[in-house]
Amino acid sequence: MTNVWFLAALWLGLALIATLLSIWFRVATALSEIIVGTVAQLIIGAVIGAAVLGTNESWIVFLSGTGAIVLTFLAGAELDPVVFKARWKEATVIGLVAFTAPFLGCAAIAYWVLHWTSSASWLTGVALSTTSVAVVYAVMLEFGLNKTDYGKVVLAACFINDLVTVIALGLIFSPFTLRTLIFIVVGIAIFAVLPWLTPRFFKKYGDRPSELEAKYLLLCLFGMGALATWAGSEAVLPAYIIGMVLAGTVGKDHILIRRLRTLTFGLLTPFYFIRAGSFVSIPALVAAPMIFLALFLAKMISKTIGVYPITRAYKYPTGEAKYTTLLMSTGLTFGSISALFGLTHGVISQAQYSYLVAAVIGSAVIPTLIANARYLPRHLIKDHEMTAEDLQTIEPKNNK
Amino acid sequence: MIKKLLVPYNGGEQANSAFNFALDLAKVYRSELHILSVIQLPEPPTEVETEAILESSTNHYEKLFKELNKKAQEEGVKISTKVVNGHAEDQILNESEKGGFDVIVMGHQTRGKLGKWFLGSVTDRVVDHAKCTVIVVKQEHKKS
Repeated sequence: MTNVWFLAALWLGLALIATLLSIWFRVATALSEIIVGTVAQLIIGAVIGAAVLGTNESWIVFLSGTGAIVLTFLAGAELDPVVFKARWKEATVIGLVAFTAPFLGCAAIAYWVLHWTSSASWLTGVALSTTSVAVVYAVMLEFGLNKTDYGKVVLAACFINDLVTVIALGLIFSPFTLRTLIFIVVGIAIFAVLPWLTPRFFKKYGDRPSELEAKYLLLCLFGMGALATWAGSEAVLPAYIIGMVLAGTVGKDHILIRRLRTLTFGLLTPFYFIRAGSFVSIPALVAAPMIFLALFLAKMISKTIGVYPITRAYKYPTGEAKYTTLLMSTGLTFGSISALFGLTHGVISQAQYSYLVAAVIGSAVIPTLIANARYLPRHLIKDHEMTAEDLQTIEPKNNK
Repeated sequence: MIKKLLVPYNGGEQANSAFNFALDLAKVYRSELHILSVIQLPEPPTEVETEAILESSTNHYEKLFKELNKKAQEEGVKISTKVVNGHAEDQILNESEKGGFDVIVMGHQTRGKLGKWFLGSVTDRVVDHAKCTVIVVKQEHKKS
């Protein structure tokens, strides 16, 4: 037992360091946790031994997995169902294109240029096809575009993009058997019932110190996660969909969401992201930096090919269209979840995982920096009022 | 005549000094006093954390605004408050132009030493690019 508490103290110590770094450098906590995990494994591995971190201890694997599931659920619960219902057609088109272009482009580069196996190449496509809803949301909010038709469609498209990513992750790597069929049928039934049942159940028994709501949600997430893994799929797939179907009810209960966030950020996700970082091999990255560069460029170019023409189709000015394209090229959370899935399921090697995570981090940081440096200052400030108001009336060309 | 004053406010000591200074000015010139707080998200913004930061920061500023309101009422000055998100200098400049402010009153340093080294000072950028007068309150300014 001493070993468990020692390990817990070590991991929480690393989580605390990561949080302090994120505050000092104003970077996302997830990013600093991945980097701290990588550096800790490198230093502790060299000085004492790689086993000290205990990354494969069952309770660390459990906390880490729960972190990914609850984080994915909360991400899905951030969807605005009203906006989505109003503009789902355009959002679905943009979201599908924003997924498909990098998915095929990156998989092709991995298969034909890097000569990776077909399953490793498909996983590369999935991991690099993601879009960060958060990055796009933050910028839309900054310029008041979240209230415009354009902003709403792009935001909803980001959710579709990530939904297709988790569906691809959950279904591509599992053989389609009777179990898959059972998972899909039971899943659809549960997803249909939950939005009706949950608010009624919470109204009758919830809002007590016994935290019934958290237990109920965790039961749904673990139950569907168990069914998904039994069918050879991935637990984050039902978690994201449960989040989306409960976005209109649970997602609006700010107090409950706040309590879940405390649990997630305070205990669960540090284990997930530090563990994800600890598997990154710096020697592999140093040995072949061109592979990272190839994957990073594959994502950026294929996203641009997919997203840029659509933003122009919305008659959005060239500068802002480029800006949106760059922002839709980001994606840290789902990219790292996909890469870790590949590593833990033996789809990719540790070296391939390292290149993928580096490309995912690069795609999260570099487009934001370029977008900020190249497109943010002055001209957007100057045009802000006109752009936001004008966009209220802008419709896509194909919508007429 | 100073009709409209804008005070970028981050809750720090220097921002409080700037607020006190602006309060004195508003009293003398009977100006409108507007407080602007900017939530700066970490880079890159990530799922769930972004919403959490926006929510907690807004709550934090709203609590601080209550204190500022109390102070302003004691001085007989009416203030308005606003929270936005984004890059501090861009949002301050944007607000000053959009709102037609005559003067921006701000503290001397609104970014950490490391941030200042990487990105420069928010105040420097506002002074450089603002179209209106900028008053930089360099030391502690107590109510007169």
